[in-house]
Amino acid sequence: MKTLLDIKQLTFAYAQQPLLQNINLTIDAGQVGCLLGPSGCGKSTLLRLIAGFEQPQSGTVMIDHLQVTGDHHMLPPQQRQVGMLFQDLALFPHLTVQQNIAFGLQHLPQEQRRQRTAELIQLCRLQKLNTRHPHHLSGGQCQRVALARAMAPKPKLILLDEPFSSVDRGLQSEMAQEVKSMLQADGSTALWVTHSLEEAFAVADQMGVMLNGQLLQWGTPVELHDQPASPDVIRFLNQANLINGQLNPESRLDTVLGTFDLCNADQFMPGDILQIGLSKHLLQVSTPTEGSKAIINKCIYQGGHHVLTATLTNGDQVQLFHHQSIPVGQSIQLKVSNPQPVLGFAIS
Amino acid sequence: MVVVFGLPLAALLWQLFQPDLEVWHHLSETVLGGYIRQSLSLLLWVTVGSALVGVSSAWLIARHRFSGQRVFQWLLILPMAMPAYIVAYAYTWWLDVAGPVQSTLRTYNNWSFGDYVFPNIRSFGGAVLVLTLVLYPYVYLLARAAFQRQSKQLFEAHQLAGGRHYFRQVALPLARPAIFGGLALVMMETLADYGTVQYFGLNTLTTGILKTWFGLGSLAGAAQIASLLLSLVMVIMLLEKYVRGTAGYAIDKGPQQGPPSITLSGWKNWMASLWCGLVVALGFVLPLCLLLVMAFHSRIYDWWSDFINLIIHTLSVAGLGAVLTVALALLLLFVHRHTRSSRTQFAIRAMGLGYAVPGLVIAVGVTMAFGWLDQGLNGIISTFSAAPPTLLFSGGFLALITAYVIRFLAVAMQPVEAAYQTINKNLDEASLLTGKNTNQTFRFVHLPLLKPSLWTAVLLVFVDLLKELPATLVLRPFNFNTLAVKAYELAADERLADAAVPALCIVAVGLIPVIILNNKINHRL
Repeated sequence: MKTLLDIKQLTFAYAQQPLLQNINLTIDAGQVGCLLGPSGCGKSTLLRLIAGFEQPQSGTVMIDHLQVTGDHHMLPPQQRQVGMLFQDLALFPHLTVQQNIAFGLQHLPQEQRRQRTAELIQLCRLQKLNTRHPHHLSGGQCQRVALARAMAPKPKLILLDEPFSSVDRGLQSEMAQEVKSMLQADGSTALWVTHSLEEAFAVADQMGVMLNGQLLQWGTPVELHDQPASPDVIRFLNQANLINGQLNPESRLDTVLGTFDLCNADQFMPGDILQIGLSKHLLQVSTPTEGSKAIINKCIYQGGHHVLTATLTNGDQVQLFHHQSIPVGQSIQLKVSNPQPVLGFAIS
Repeated sequence: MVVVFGLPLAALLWQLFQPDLEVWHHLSETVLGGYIRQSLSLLLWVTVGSALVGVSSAWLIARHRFSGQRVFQWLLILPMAMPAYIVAYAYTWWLDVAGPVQSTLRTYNNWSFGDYVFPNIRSFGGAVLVLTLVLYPYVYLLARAAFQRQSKQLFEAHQLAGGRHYFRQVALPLARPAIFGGLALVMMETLADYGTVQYFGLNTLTTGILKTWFGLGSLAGAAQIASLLLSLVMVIMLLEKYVRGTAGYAIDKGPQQGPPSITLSGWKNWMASLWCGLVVALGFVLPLCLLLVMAFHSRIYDWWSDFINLIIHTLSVAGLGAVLTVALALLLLFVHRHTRSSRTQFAIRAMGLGYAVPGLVIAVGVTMAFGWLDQGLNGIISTFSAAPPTLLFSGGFLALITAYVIRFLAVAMQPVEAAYQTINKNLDEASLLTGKNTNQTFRFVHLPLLKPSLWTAVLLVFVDLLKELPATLVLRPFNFNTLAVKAYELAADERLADAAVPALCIVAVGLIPVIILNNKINHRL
């Protein structure tokens, strides 16, 4: 498949503050790439670099095999054929829905312009809203108009900057899937930025986790989930507990919570101190006779279940779900249900 | 562009630091002391008068209920529409020896001239009265807004703490920056006034500039006085900044519910109404009625065709000036939005200062700067050809329009800048991404969104230009008159009744921005 977006070694600093370090990623034509990360990690900055609003210190950006940002030249935003769905949508308040969508089509002959506008109105289900102004539309309708406006000139790449950050949480993944189907129907390639796991898994063909200006991993959702590149990726994707242990002579990892099989034991030597991720769902409160001891230091009801925070005998803290409340300070036994081979990471 | 418009002011500042000692010496030995003394005492009395009238009426309106309070709330702003020199003409016509008041007194009491004592309106006291009556609204507007924004909690806290003098202990100190802001405007307008003081025969810095310039024929001397006036203005601006800076804690946190209004009854009620009524009557209603009566007595039909010409002249020069001023403001703001450079920021701030500079000072600066340009140009031309010397810069409308732009750019800038700030920066980026370049973005996105504020800006500048007297008087091309200049000339010829006709036109148009301003302030509260 053809590579559409290719970013190599992109580094950007603002006022001596490094915001992005050595970013590398590619997206194939027709696919949706999703950047996941907490707010302030540099996701939006990356979008602005791709769009050409900011100039990086080093690195290259290629869109459809054309270098738009390189060492010595910058193509201005208006020549990059990139569309963008802004976080605040940025619809033109003085134009109607139809005029907003047609805004980027003014270079086309009238017949083509009319046809493309009609096509997008159809695709984004805006038929009855043609002549309305943005302030007469609901949030979701505005979102669809902004998407239609971004897609109208058939840009090579569409950038989406946290498009659903203002939408109710329950609707996020539903709306995200709807937008993805619209993008697919138009054959668009997109880079989508979000801090919501739900949204990312709902739309991503490729995805990556960003933290503190660094792209920790870039791959398919399955790759990220099954072969995380670092403990941080695990923590972000699974909201898992990180536990330390030592590799024993049988190449198994001894931890406070028991002994685990590793799927990558051959990479390490016995005696190495390693870190593994354990999902909150895998930890269970067990009977007094089995498991290892822990002391409850927080118990929060979250509707349907409690989230317990417990301190292990070595001082590490873990979180787990439990069906009933346990008083703070009480001592319990913890075990890992159904242990599977896990990935170990050398502690850096 | 900014250099061209900054040149006149730079020329004056240059003059300030490079005094021509001979001229300076002569001036300071003869008249300068008198000019300064009269200007400063006028400044002092008008400031005190405006503070008293402005703050008292603002306090009454903001915190009390009395008969007619709602109407007075906006009637009190109307004197702003009256240029001071026009009020001066109206009162002079009414109160002078030959005017209706004294004539009636004489007829009724069978007196003749010299039998009685009647205060002369054309005096220092008269000038203080007239300037106070038209300038107090600046203080009133700002103080009223400040009083109304003070929070209810503050009032309640003061009561709980057992305080009794809320006005003196809390309200007045909190409103101090606003009141000083208003007073600074009053001071600048007082220093800039030429029409009133000239007509009343006072010797202030502004009349001194013109006397030295045209009476003694010394532009250098005029420039010396102008730079002195300019430094006075700068002192006032610094003072205002200082007061505001130290009182930063008084700034409110958005609209809140104010303390309860006090309902006045009995004699207090009538006194409040009487006070506000008196101020409005003297500052607006009476002069307006007088102008109407004067116009009725005038022989306007004798020069009707001249009058039509006059209106066409005025509208075209004010219209052109307004459009150019707003266009320049828009250009500066547009460039600044794109470059975000400190240079454009500086240019915007620097050009904004022009509004504080008296029109006459700007006129002197423009004349000097353009005179140099003309000399330079003629120097270049004469080396290449034998063409006769031209006055390309200083001869025609260019000088006049330049002075207008310098003086009123801040007026144009304010509404446009406010509107520009409300345009989301992402709209620019969205437009760029659809392939539009910066200029197209300006045309298709900024311009339609800015349109209403651009019209407001044009209107505001237009009306200011209509009223402008001193700069127009000095810089207008030969035989070119505006309404303001014509009124001035007719008054100078003692044809006060005829002067009333152009004066009325100015007042009528001047009411428009006052109404706009009032609506804006009400919306904000």
